[in-house]
Amino acid sequence: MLQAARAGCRDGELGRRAITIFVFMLAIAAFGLVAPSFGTLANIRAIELSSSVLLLASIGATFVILMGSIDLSIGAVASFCGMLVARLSPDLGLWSVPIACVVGLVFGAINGLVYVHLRIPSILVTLGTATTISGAVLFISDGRSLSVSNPAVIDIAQGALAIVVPNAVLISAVIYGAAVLIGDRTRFGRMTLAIGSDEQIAVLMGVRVNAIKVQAFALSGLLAGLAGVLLAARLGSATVTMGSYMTLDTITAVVVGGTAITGGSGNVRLTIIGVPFITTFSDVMNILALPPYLQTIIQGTVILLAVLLNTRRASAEDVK
Amino acid sequence: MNGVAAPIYSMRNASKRFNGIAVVEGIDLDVFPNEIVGIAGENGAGKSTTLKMIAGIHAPNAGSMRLFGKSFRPLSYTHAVEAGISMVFQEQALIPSLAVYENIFLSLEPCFTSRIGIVDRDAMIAVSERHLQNLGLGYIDPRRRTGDYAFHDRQMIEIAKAFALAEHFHIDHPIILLDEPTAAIGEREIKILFESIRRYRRRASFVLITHRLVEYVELCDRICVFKDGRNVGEFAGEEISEQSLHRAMVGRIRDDEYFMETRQLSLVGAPIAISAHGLSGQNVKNVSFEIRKGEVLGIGGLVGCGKEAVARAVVGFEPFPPNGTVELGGEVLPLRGRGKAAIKRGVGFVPKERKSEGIVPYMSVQANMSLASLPLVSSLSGFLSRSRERRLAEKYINRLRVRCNGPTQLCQFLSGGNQQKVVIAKWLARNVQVLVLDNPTRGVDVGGKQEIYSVLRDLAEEGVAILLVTDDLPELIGMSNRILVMRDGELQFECSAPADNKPTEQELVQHMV
Ligand SMILES: Nc1ncnc2c1ncn2[C@@H]1O[C@H](COP(=O)(O)OP(=O)(O)OP(=O)(O)O)[C@@H](O)[C@H]1O
Ligand SMILES: [Mg+2]
Repeated sequence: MLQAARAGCRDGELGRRAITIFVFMLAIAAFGLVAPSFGTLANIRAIELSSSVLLLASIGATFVILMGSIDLSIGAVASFCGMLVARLSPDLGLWSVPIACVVGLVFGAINGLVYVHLRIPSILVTLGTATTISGAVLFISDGRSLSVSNPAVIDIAQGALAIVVPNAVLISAVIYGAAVLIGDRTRFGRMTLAIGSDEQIAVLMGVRVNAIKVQAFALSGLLAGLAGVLLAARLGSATVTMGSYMTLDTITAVVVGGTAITGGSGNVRLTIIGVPFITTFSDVMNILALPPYLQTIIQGTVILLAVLLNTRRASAEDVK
Repeated sequence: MNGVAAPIYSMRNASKRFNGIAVVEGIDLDVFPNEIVGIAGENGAGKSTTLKMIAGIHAPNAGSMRLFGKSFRPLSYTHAVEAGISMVFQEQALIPSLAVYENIFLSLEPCFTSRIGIVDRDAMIAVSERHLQNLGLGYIDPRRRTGDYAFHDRQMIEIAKAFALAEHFHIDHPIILLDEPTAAIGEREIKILFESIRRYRRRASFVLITHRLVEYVELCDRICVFKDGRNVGEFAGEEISEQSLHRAMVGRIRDDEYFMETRQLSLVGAPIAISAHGLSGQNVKNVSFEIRKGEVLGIGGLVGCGKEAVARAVVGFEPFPPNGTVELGGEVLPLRGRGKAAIKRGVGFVPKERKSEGIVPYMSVQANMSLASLPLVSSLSGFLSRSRERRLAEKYINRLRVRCNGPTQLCQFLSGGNQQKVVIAKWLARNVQVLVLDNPTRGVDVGGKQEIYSVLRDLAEEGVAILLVTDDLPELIGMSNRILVMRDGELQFECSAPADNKPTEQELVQHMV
């Protein structure tokens, strides 16, 4: 009797995800009818690009959230790294890209180190560093927007190996694949989940919990930096607050995907469900040229709906 | 008393499915006034699920319930409490950051609220205090944080809570559901609890689940045996004995070889695997011992005697008594980072609190089992190999008879005893040299216990040194080569326990109190 279930889906999880995806498809079909320009190649490309950027940042955020922590500096780091590329690329060309990524990694590592060694909750640490880094963006840009004109850098996002698949999509797809592998099949991936569930479990496995935490924040910083770089390359310019939307959008994408905001439940694979939700909806609302306040209202409602559909609410103990 | 009165509670043909899988299929259960009913069955038989249906936590998919002569369909636990049912949960349901009294009356604050909306804390504290005192817990201050108390104290608070709730609604004859109340407490607490149960039964009924069969014999008027979510037998009065229950649950009579004493090694001249010298700290005073390869050293004592702290010191799991040394294979383990050093040298630790220290609920059974031995299930590429992980999990699922839908089922959905088996499997999977176990068979059914004992014997034969800290006296005596008894943090008594000359429970208990 119990064995019969072996064939069935895992605790109904798949079923729930299927519903989410189905609703999403339905919504897209509806958009196609309402907004004729939705289905154009240019628009689909725009969605692909903004999804790639958000996906990268959200992957990093997922590991942090799985541990039960939170990274509020993602937007600031992305802005900083995007600006850095704009600033450095006229002189350094393509080299500005790895430099910006390393800077992102360092920011993330600092977040992690402060969090771990000064024992300050991550939400406060990253709130602080976010503010500092936002200030630093103004510092390196003199508060102005800079254009990114180096064709090699722009190519990173907009160029395309295959005709319809922009490089940005390729990059984020490869990194997503790697992240899934890391999440499922490495000690780091397993331990982030264990730490989020209860740190004592990881301690009892002889794991250096602090090291894992710092690594997760460093990864988040690295990917936020890369997302910032791609964003600047995609827009062809960098503004001081261009990444700030990412902070909340990454968290939303992760949670809509089905990872618990309290940590200990979910995985990075799920995050790909949440990302297109957010990017598609904001795209549609832009196309429809809805007034901004209405956009926010609708977006909030849709996100709530998506969370309702996709998270485990079976047991009350999850809800915090 | 049956037959004379009508049942105050009855469940007819109740079924419960989770995601289409039937867990309980057509259970009947009656509770008569002043009766103590036992529910016995293997891990995963559906016992907790049945109690949760009575307590309004799970709604049955089919079947009917009646309480005090009326149809009963509780929508929530609070609803059931108001109707006269309260429950002690198998996994503690207390919130650590709240004060003890706040936990006891959680969600019942309105009952203590005056007309102008002010909560009468003093009344809540006074009532809590009285119930704690009744259970011999005068030393627990209801104003303190629940999380400050040790695991076994929290278990007693949970029990006090059930009694307090039962009393609070002025129900003439409440029903108190006890789901493995004794799994985490010691002999002394068990005795007090049983006295309270006997006292209360004059105006209440109880439903009891336990995996210590002797407790059924001691307390219950009637026992229903469950198997695979169905009733398979009922015992009353004289028919109740450990033997009959064992047979009904496991299918065969309990043999003398339950602890496999004949497989106990004699260890003359075996090399010393691990030793502790002068362990001291807050609750531990100068404890020294050594364990030879292949030896099972048991430590017994009342809860709070410091035996858990000794186990933690050996494995370096904070917080532990800081003074004294632990030597492993001739090498002294460092004080800082002892846990890591110990694990690296092949020490495994099965902790007492499986919920917070043992399993990751939202991880699959196989991921939990491989958590301590990730290198062993990795392929050459350095990534975990799914097939190896799966094979490892299947091996231990079969070996320990873990009841689950398969290696990929989330641990969250396993029954308590099966989760415990997963925690043990985690360390068995990693080839340990020394295994420290704190109440390893907590919540495991009689058959599963025997599997675990057999595995421990296997390990001993392979030369693994085993430190067994347990509140279960028969287990302590049956399994150990040598037994230490602790009292108030000190070693009080030591005796060897060869297979043919085991000490009696009385001999040990006299040194505990
Ligand atoms: N929420 C749930 N979702 C899916 N399956 C569940 C859920 N709760 C319990 N089960 C399954 O139902 C079965 C019975 O569980 P239950 O907790 O009632 O067992 P039990 O008799 O109390 O066992 P134990 O002695 O180990 O506590 C188990 O096989 C368990 O895996
Ligand atoms: Mg149970």
